[in-house]
Amino acid sequence: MIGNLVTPDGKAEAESKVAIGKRVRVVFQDLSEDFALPQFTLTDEPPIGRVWSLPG
Amino acid sequence: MASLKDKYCIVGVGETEYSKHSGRSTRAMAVEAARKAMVDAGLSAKDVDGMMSYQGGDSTPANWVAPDLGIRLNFYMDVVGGGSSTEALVGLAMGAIEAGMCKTVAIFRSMNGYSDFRIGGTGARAAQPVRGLDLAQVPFGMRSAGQAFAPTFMRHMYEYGTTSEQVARVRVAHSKHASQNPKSLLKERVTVQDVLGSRWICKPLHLLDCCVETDNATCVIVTSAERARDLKQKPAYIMGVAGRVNKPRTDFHWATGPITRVAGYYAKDIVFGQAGITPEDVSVTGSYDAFTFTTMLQLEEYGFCKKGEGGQYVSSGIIELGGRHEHGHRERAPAPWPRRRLLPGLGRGQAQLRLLAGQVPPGQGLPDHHEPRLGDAANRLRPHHAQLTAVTTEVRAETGPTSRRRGARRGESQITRSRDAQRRVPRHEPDDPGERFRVARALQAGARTQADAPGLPGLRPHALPAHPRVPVVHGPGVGLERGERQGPHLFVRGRPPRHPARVQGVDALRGGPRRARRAARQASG
Repeated sequence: MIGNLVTPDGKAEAESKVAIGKRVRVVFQDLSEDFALPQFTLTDEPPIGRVWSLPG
Repeated sequence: MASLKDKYCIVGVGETEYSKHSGRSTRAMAVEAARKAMVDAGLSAKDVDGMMSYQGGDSTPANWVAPDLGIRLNFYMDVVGGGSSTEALVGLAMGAIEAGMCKTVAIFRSMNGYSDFRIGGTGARAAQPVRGLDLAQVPFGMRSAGQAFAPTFMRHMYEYGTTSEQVARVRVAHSKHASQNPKSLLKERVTVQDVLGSRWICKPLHLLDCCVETDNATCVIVTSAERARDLKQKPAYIMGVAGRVNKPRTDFHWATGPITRVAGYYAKDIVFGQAGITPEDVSVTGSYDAFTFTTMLQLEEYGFCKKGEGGQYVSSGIIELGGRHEHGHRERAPAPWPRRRLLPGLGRGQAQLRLLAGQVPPGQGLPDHHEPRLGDAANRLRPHHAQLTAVTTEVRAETGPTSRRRGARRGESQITRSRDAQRRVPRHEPDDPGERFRVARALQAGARTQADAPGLPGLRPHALPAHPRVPVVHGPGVGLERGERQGPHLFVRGRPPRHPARVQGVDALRGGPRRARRAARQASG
C-alpha cells in the first residue's frame, strides 16, 4: 500500500526525516465520520537494514 | 506452434509534426500519419484492410480513421493502454494476419499529449473522476507516471549505488541524438549538470530526467514478408515480439519484489527466444526513454549488462551513437536517436526504422552542428538488410552488412531524405488563421501526389484541422440549388463566400481577417 508520511498531528513529515529503512506505523486519518485515509508515521523502533535517503 | 520469426515485417512508417500545440484533432493527425505510412510503403487504400490503435480515452478509434483514407476494414481494434502497447499491437497484427483475418495492418497512435491529455495528470485528464485504481493513489497525491515509477528508481539507487549523475548520461546521449534529428522537438543538447540542475519533479526525477510530452501521431504498417517483397521500402523483419508483459502486479508493482525489477526481465525470454539470438548478437538498440532510469532498467533486464550495473553501463558512453562495446568480435552501438516523444513507444521506433531502412543518415546534423558526422562506425550500422526485433517497450534491431546504394555519389550515397523532411510544413500558429490555413494547404499538397500513392485518396476536408480555432469550416450538405456552395469546399474565415447573403450559417465568417482573428480568439476561449 502507499500513503503519505505524516506527523502524529497529520501534517506532512519533514523531508529530512524520510529515508528507506526507517520503521513506520500505519495510522488512519479521519476525513469524515465513515471515511478514513491510511497514512504513515515514523516510529522510534530501530531501523531494519541500512538507512538511506537521496543525497541532496 | 510454428515460429513467426521473419514471417512478418514493418513496411512503412509515418508521423506528424511533433509539437506542443498541434491545434488539430487526434483524428486529423491519425489520418496524416497513417497516410504517410501508406505512401512510405507504397500501399493504396485497398491494400490495407486492418487498423489498430491504443489509447486511454484520449484519441480517435481506428474505425473512424480508416474511412477518411478510403480504407474498408476487415479487422480493427482499439485497446486501452500506453507504453508497450505499441509492441503488443505489432504482435496482435501478426496474429490477425496469421489467422487470416486481414492482410495488412496499420497501427497508429494519435494524441495531443501536451495540449490536451497530459500523462502527468494535468490538462483534460485532471478533470476525469477519481475511480478504480485511482481511489488508492490519487487521494495521496499520486497521479503521475513519475510518481508511480519513482519507488523502483529510488530502490535501484539504494541497492546498487546508482547515482543521478549516471542516469543523467541517458538524457545527455539522447539529447545529442535528438540534435541530429530534423524531426525532434527539442534539439538543444544538455549536459549532466543541466539535468542535475533542473527542478525536482518527483525524487529522484529531475525535470530533465523526464521525457517531454508532445502532440503528434505516428503509424507503422505490418504485413507479411511475402507481401513486403513487392513494396517500396526494404522491409524490417520482425524476429520476435512481446508487449504488455507484466510484473506480478501492475497496480502496485512495488509490492512485489524485487522492487527494481521491471517487465523486461520476463519479456527478454520471450523475444530472444523467438528470435533465437542473445543480447550479444544485437547491433542497435532503442529504448523507451520515458525517464532516464527507464532506459537503464531496460538495458539491464534485457541482459545488455548485469543487474545493478546499469548506471555504470549507461554512463560509459556506450549508448551514444558510435558507442562501441566489444562482445567477442562484435560491436554494439545502441540507441540511435530518439528523444522526441511522446507517443510512448512508437516515436523512437520511427526514427530507428528510418535509420534501418537507410532513409536518414545517422550523421545528419543541424547546419551549424559542431559534432563531427558519424564516420565508419555509423556507416557500418546502416543496414543492407534490416531485421527488427520488437520487444516490450522498445524496438531492437539486428542489422546486416552495409552496402552502398548503386549509382550514388560518395559522401551522400546513402542519404535518402524522407519525403517528410523534404516537404516543409509551416508551423502551426494558433492565433493566426492564415497560418493555419497555410498548414492545411501544405498538408493537402502532400496528399495531392497521387503518383506516390496510386489508389490512395488525398486527405479529405474533414480530416483537416478540426479544432474550434481552426479557421476553416467544412461545408458539406450545402446545396447549389439554394445558391450555396456544395461539396468539399472549405469556407475560409476572412474570405467572404461568393454569395454571402445566401449562404446559411457563415455570417460570422465574413468581415475580413481582423474579424476572423477575433472570432477565432472567441472560439478558443
